[in-house]
Amino acid sequence: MTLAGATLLATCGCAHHPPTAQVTSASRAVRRAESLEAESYSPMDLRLAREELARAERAVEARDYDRARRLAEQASVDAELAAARVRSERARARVAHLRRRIGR
Amino acid sequence: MTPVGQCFGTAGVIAVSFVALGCARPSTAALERARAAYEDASQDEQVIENAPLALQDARQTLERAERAPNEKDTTSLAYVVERKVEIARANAEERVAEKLARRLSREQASARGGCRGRGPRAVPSGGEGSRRGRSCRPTAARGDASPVRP
Repeated sequence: MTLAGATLLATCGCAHHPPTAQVTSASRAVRRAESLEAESYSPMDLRLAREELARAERAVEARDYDRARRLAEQASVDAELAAARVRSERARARVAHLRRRIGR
Repeated sequence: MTPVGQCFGTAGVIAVSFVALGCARPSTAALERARAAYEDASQDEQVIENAPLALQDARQTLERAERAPNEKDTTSLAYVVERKVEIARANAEERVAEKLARRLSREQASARGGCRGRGPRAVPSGGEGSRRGRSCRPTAARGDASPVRP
C-alpha cells in the first residue's frame, strides 16, 4: 500500500518536499503589505493573500505539497499587489495634496 | 523537391514548430484570460514606459503557465499572471503620479521664487526648489521679533 503510494507519487511528478521557501516568501509578502497599511488601502487583496497563505500552510500539514506551492505563490502575488496598490494610492494622494496647495 | 513534396515539407515544419512551441497543447480559459490581460498591458504605453520590469515578470510567468505540466498548475499560474499584470499597472500609475508630484513641487517652488507664495510653511523637500524657496523666506521680518534690544 505504502509502496504503491510512493510509486504513484514518483510517477505523477508530484512534489516530495514541502515548499518551505515559497511559504516563507508568501508570509513575508503578507507582512510587508500589512506594514504598509494595506488593510485600509487594499483590504480585499490582503484578505485574499492571508486566506491563501493559511490554506497553503494547511496543505503543507496535509502533505499536499503541490497544492501548497500553488497557494503560496498566489498568496505572494496577492500580497504584492496589495502593497503595489498602497504605493500607487499614496503617490496619487500626494499629487492631490500638492494640487490643493497650489490651488489648481 | 517536387511542389507536392515541398508542400508536405512545409506542413511538417509548421506542425513540428507548433508542437515545439507548445501551441498544440489545449489551453484553458484561465490561460486565455491571462494571455489577453498580458497582451493588453504590453501594448499600453504607460505600462511599457513606467513598469517594464513588472511587465517582464508577468511575461515570464505567462511562459511558465504555458509550459505547466498539468491543468492545476496552468490555472494557478494563469491567475498569478493576471495579478502580476495588475501589479505592473499599479507600479506604472505610481510612477506617473510620482513624476507629476515632482513637477508640481518644482512649480510650487518656482512660484514662490518670486515671493508670491503663501508664507514659509510650504517649503519643499530637497532639490533645486528648496534653495529657491529658502531665498524667499521672510528672514528680515523674523529678525524684527528678536529679543535683542539696545
